[in-house]
Amino acid sequence: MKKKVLLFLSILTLLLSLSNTVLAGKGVFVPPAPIRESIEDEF
Amino acid sequence: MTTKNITIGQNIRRIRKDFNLRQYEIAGEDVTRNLISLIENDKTPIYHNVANIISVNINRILYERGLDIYIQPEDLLNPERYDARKEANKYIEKLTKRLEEKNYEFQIEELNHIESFLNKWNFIDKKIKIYELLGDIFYNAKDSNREYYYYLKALEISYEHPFMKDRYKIILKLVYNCILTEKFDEAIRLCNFALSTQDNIPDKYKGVFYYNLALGYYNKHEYDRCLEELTKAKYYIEEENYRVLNSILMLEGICHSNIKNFDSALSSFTKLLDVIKANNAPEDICLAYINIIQIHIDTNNREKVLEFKDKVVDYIEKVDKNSFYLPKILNSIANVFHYLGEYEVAEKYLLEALLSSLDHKDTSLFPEIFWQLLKLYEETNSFHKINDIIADVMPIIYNFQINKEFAIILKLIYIYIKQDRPLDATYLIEKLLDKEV
Repeated sequence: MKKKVLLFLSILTLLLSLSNTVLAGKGVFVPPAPIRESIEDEF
Repeated sequence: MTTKNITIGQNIRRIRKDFNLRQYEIAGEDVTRNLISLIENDKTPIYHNVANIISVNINRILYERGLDIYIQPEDLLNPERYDARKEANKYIEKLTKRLEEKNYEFQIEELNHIESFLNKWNFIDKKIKIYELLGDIFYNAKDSNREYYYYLKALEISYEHPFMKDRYKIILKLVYNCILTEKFDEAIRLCNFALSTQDNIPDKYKGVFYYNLALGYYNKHEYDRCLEELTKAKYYIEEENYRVLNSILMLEGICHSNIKNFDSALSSFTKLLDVIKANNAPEDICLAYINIIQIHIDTNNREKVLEFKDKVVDYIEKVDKNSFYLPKILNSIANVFHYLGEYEVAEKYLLEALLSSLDHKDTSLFPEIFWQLLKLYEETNSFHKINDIIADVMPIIYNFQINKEFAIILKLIYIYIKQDRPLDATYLIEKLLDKEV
């Protein structure tokens, strides 16, 4: 049972590895959002 | 006047009067005013080429008056069609009302009905407007797939409208969607396309396009290109334009940090803090501080991290719970506590970040935050804690996109499990993860 849980979590980790990732100990920045508004007065 | 008893001549007169045009205006230089008079009085038939000339003249005048209306030759020749334009206006009113009332629920039949109406009549201007409104509705409903679909349709059809104004605004909405759904190449292509082909973009919008272009390169880890585009963005953005200037300086600072140019990074953030403090925006101050801390983590300056940490924690309380940035801020502050070895606090923030990412427009957030959480559980040997959140996250994991290569990997792992070979499965996973990370 333990093995299966471990495998399941390993698979989850593998799935997530496809995303952009940052290692711990490195800065995790919060970049600004893109801008889309078409309301001219907003600018 | 109803369609049933209206002639083509009467229809042309009706359209002319609706837009307050004179006969000589719609005649232009290619046909005579006298011919228009004969046509309107049904004393001579109208051929398609003449209808085409008249519609071009009408559209030119409407464009000069700043109206976003496009009369097609068929509208002149078919009175029933011109009536149907009014039906289209009703759809536009209904959709606008939905947006105002924040009513974003659609039955599939309703959407099909709108589509078949538009396909039947093919009103170019109305199609553009309706598809853009549908894009706006799905943007607000956080349905990025359908948002993209309708904006793209609006953009494609806009090329059939030679007098189309403000096409760049639709492109900008698409760019935004592409960045949040991680279609960075497409976002870059769209920005470059808009900047090189749309000659009516006001400077402030040019600055925004260059900024979004820079953001596309940032996400592709092309930091030098990002900085180049930010320089161009700054050229077009006036100092009073706080919101865009704030975003430009923030991105510039992060970019410098990513290329280990830490002095320039801190210099950008110092300028940013000057701009922000003058405008007293708590969320922006929080964002600036949190990014500054990340620079100190990168340079392993523990003292500075500790100095800024408390400031950020105070500001987090002031950030709006519906803020676009909240999950990212929580993820970032979790990283601070992780760096400081305070794993329980890091976990607390990551769990908060994960929950607030579940219903977020930015689809890249959930995997990024979940990844950090798994790393933390791995590091602290506490994978069992995953059970507490598994029910919330599984629906999203089931929706992860799986390509052929990845399906092969999963299939291999599946076979190893079935054959009770956990060591082989673990080895395969570790090998692949090493390559990825």
